Amino acid sequence: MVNYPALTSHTSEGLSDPLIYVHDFTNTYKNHLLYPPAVREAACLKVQIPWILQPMQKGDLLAGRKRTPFLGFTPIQGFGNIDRTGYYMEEQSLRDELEPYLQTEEQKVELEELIAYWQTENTNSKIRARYTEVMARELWTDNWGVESGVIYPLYRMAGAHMDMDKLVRLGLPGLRAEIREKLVSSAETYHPLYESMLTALDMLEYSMIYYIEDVKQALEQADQASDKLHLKRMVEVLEAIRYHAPRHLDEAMQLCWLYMLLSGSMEHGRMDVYFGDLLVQDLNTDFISELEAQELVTAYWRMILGVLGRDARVIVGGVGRRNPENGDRFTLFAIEASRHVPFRPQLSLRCNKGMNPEILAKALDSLGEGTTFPILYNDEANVPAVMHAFDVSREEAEQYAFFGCGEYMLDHRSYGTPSGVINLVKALELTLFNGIDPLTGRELGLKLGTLSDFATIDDLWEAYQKQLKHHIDIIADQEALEYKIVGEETSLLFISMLYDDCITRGKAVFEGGIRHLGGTLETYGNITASDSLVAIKKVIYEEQKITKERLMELILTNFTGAEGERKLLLEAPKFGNDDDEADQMAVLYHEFVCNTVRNQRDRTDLDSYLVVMINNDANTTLGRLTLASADGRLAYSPMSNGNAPSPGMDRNGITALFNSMTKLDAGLHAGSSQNIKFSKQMFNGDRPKLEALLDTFFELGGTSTNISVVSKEDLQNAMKEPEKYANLIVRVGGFSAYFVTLNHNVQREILERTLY
Amino acid sequence: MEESGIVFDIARFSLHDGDGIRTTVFLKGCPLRCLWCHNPESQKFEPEVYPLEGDTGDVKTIGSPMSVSEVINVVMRDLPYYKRSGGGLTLSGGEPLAQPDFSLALLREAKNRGLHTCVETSGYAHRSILERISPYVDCFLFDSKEYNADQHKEYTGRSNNVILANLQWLCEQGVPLILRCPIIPGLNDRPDHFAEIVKWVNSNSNIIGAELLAYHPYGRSKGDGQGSTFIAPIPTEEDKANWLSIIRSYGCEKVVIG
Repeated sequence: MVNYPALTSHTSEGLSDPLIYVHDFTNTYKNHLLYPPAVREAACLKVQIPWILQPMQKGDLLAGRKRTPFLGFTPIQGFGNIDRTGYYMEEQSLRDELEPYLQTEEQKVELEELIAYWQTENTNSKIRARYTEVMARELWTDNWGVESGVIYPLYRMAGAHMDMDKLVRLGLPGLRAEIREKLVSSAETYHPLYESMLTALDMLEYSMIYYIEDVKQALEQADQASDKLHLKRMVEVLEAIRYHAPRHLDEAMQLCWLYMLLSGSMEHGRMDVYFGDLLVQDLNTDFISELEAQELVTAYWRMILGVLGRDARVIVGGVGRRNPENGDRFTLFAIEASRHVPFRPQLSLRCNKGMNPEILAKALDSLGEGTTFPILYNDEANVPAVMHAFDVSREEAEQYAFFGCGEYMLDHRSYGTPSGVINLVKALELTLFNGIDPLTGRELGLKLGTLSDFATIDDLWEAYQKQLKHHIDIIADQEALEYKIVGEETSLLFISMLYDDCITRGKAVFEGGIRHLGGTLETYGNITASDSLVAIKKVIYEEQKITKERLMELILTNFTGAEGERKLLLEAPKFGNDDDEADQMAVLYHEFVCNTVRNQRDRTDLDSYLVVMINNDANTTLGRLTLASADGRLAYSPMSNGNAPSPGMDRNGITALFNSMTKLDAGLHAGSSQNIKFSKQMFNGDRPKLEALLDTFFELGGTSTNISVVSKEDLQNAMKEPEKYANLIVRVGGFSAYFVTLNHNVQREILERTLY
Repeated sequence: MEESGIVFDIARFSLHDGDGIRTTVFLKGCPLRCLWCHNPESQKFEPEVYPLEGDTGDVKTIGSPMSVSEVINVVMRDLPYYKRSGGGLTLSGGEPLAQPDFSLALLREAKNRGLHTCVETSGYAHRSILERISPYVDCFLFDSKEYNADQHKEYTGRSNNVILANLQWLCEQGVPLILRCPIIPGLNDRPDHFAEIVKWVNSNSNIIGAELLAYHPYGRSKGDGQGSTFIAPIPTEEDKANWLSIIRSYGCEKVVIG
């Protein structure tokens, strides 16, 4: 029999005391230091999971809420602008939380010892401790977005796409049986990974038992007949999934939701595949009505909104589904749910030739209302691009998925966490100023001379390439190192159980279990950099209207009193206008950066390492650390977003923009966000022409569209009178948000984007 | 020598100048001087210099000479969009028929490249020009400003005799066309004017339909240099519905608000 932690202690005073939790967690960790990582992790989860589970809230149709502990274990957890992975401590918040519970001097001393222990024992610090000298120099700070640098490490194992379809098909008992089978047939007498996986599944069952009790309590207090009905069904569902694979949609949803909560992943993957069959079965047998089905899907959306972070994604549609008709049926409910629940999940619709036209029509209706969802992905372009970028077969590429802001990976077969950031425009600054960050005076990167030393644009380009390669090599090494150490420290049990090959190989994801170990690098300011090169080429080298020395001065003085010279630079060709000169430079630049990153697979242990131009609002954040640039951009203002033009620089109409964008080879990277802002009039005024436009963009190789449908007046007015525009939603980059909640700089950047 | 002409704008992703997604090439220069002109900077045949908005002292030049291949190179960039949507090239102005050789060369080249072509015209041109050009035009967007000759002269500076004769000729030839009818409150929003539009549409099978284009004042802010101070009331949605109901009462379904 399974030895569960005593349920009663969960609600007793004992466990509501965070001091007890942090000491329990720490002691458990210490007591298992000499055990294999899987065993230590399972032991720690047994402490952590009862602590984080939170009672259901009124109106929840699915059970499962959690809190984030300030000391714990995670694949990825953000605090402020710094992410954590593995074992982590958020020191200040932990101190604040524990302060009221400290009664004696002894407790205070113990806590200081505990904090001192975790200051070096947390996984982030363990990774940094293993940096080489050159890594430590260029990755001088973890505080990205606040301190100025070219490359920054991110500590996170983001974007796990687990095999939820397998979970739904096997259920808890089936998954347990599969692992037990492996354990029994294993040649080794002791197999810590399988045993620890079974412990993790016990904790999944524990969460079911916890919520059965919790829902029963709610049932006692409920007075409305309809509430009672719902709550009774919830108890039935929770009891059922302890012993059976899901037999109905609500059972599958409850199982998946709890598993998702405990795993720490936010990525739901191809939800139409794993929910579609049970949905259609329940509808066909009248087990649920259309209305009830909608309520369930919308309820799932509300849980995602309430519990998970902004990156949470749901993917529907596309090629490579085993049950396209059932999937399509689910997809219609999914789009409808996104019309009622804002921001997340980031519903993403994979489109392909011959797709059900009803789905596309419903998607465009939803976008036309200004919901920003679904994000449209083009399978016809993406599948071949993924085949090339990841070097995999069509069959594998058809299972591409994307997470967070849009990084591509292979569903439950690969990991592609973006654990590095590069500010490409900062790297150009170093190239112009001989390896000195002109914002801070800090020496960074290679010393290759100043702009004055480069006789031709080719000399400058060569130096810039060297500077970029230097930084990219380091950040790739950092990614490989991060995986290695996370592999030494963790087994990510919940994720490993639902990743292909881990159970078969008997290895955790980062211990050699995963089929494709990939990684991605977030690049920022791509187009600002290429437009800057165009302006330097034309205005400084060719027309010689501004000298090299003067340009350096203009960058340092932010064009103060030099509007005329700034205008010359602004008038140089810009990407996004179907202009050959600007676009050719963008292509050259794109190919250099993407290939330099992609070639890291030959230098490192990574199967793939790819650029993502996915963008959240980091183009704005990093822009604040970046001086004026040669394209005429002012200091500290936003850089270009994704592979979109610099804000407002695309002036030749949307077909010109699309033509420019599709010149950048999608087969060289792992995703780019293409934010397009339409007026309501343009988007809704003539639907057949709008469809023809998007269709042709996809035909030409466009990979995706992030569509905001807004009016310029609305955005302007919302900045002046935010209280009146509380519901205005825009697509920022890799996420959607209420416009009025964004900071002023981000608002300005969105306003300045061209409105079509 | 390759033909060239004065172009004052090229608008890509143009949705309101014929079928599908189009590129509209605006040729500079127009023989008419409509009181309500929306594009006053297109009236003169030569490039002109206008001050930019605000008091920056900056100026912008409107209109530049372009060769046929320069124009066609821009137009061809959106070929996939035309193919998918049934769109193509639209010549507008100004008055494209006032640069007849350039227009002809552009249209001929467009047809060589397999493009669908439209010409937006006031119809004020010598018949021989129309005869030369019409074989290369899939659809005319033919202005229908005023059917009364005196009023036409008052509103546009020219009589409508030539225009109506050309319209009649195009109908006899069976060339597809859409009537484009600017409706200016106080000038031509009269029932008898609507009745004339209906008569033309109903009695000629080549006329696909008519679009009523409600007056808007945006032309005035561009600084037309013509001293135009023309102001008309801006039609409301109610006014527009009213126009349509009058037209429907005359028994015509092929007229829409453009």
